[in-house]
Amino acid sequence: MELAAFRAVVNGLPVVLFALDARGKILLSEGGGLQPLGFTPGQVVGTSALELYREVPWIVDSLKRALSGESFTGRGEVSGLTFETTYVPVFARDGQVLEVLGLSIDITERTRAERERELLIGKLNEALGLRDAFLAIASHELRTPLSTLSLKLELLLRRAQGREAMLPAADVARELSYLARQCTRLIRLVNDLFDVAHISRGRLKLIREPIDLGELIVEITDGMRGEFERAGVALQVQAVRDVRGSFDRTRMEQVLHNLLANALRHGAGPVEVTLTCDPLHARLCVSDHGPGIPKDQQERVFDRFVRIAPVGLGGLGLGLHICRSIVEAHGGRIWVESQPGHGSAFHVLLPLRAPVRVR
Amino acid sequence: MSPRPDPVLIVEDDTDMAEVLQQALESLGLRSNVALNGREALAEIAREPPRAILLDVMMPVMDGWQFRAEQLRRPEACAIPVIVMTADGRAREKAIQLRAIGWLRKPVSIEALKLELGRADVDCG
Repeated sequence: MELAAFRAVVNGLPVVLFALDARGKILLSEGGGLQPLGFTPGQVVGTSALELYREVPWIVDSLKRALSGESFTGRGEVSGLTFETTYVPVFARDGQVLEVLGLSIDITERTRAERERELLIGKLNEALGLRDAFLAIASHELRTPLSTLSLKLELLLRRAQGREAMLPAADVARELSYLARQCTRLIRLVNDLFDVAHISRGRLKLIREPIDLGELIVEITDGMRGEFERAGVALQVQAVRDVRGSFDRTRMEQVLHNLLANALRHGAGPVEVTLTCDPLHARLCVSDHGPGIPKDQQERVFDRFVRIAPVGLGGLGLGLHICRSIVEAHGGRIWVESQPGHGSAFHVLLPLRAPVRVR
Repeated sequence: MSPRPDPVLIVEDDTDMAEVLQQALESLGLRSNVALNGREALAEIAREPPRAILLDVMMPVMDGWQFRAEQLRRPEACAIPVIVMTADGRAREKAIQLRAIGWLRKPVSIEALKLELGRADVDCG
């Protein structure tokens, strides 16, 4: 191949082909990789490479290694670009270095892609780790009510088959409500799992209807009083009435239930629920006096699978993620204010579509 | 008259689970006490030493591991046999690591309960 054709090829590629004499003076400098460095082919021939790159220590070091007879490949950055360079010393008969030949390849794009890939792999591994931890917790959480349910059924069955007298009606009611409670726990867990699958596919659909949030809060808190009493946690409700808006009833119930269940599980009494409103927004707050949430974890609690409480405290780590998705689907916002050691307050701000008061 | 036999201690944070376990033991003719975490369990042992302990591993406050370490440190408590209850698939591994005499995987059946208590020399009649 003729030299001109050879040059044309090299100058069309993102490479720098170079040759230095034994003292580092540039004998040859060709290739399309020179342009982004601000040079034209041949421009720097005759100057000292060590002088030219005196402010780039890794290049000076590499050149010195090559000039001392070492053959190697290295990579580094210059002018915001990443080059991978192979240095090949050429020796005289007496073993002295005669010249150094080199080929630098601009691998900026490749490096960026590699970094991106590493970042993605990191994220993927993190997601897999979270998923595995989640599966372990989900299995624990599902087994607990299943376990109580099956053991209770076994006991009742034994009694029914035994020679003992029939259970008094009050006991039957008590046992049945126990069984129903376990079923409710299971149903909630399974619903949460389905919801999260739906949410992650962006399929959370709202069925809006006119609702008085004040009434809904009283309804839900009344329904949960039994649970609070059993746990010995005081529940205080201050909700204004006539906070009307267009909401998905089931979903709003879920938000309230999740926030209350969290306060009951992780917090300490008294748990306070307040509802206030202005003409445009409803403001709901559920606060507890539990251990609180460390500052650096406060945003994370709304992420999927994230549980910051110790294992064994119940919960799938999905409740707040579901809450946030529901609140945001309603055009609202949810956040937490917490001082470790002084409890947590979960705030929900919801736009009221319908006017609060009719004139 | 023979003295009242020592109770079995249930260490379980889930109150529903603790309740049904207590009934299951009662159906086997055994008296039981309940502790909701490891710390309460240590207090229970001091109050009324049990003949065996049914231990849930995953608990807040003081979990099964911390409890077991503390129990083994106490001369008056270390000999009480422990049966581990877990919800995951590694019940046996955990039992070995915790130096427990038996293990129960949730869901727990009355038969399994009887069998494991037998290992702890608790006769269920």
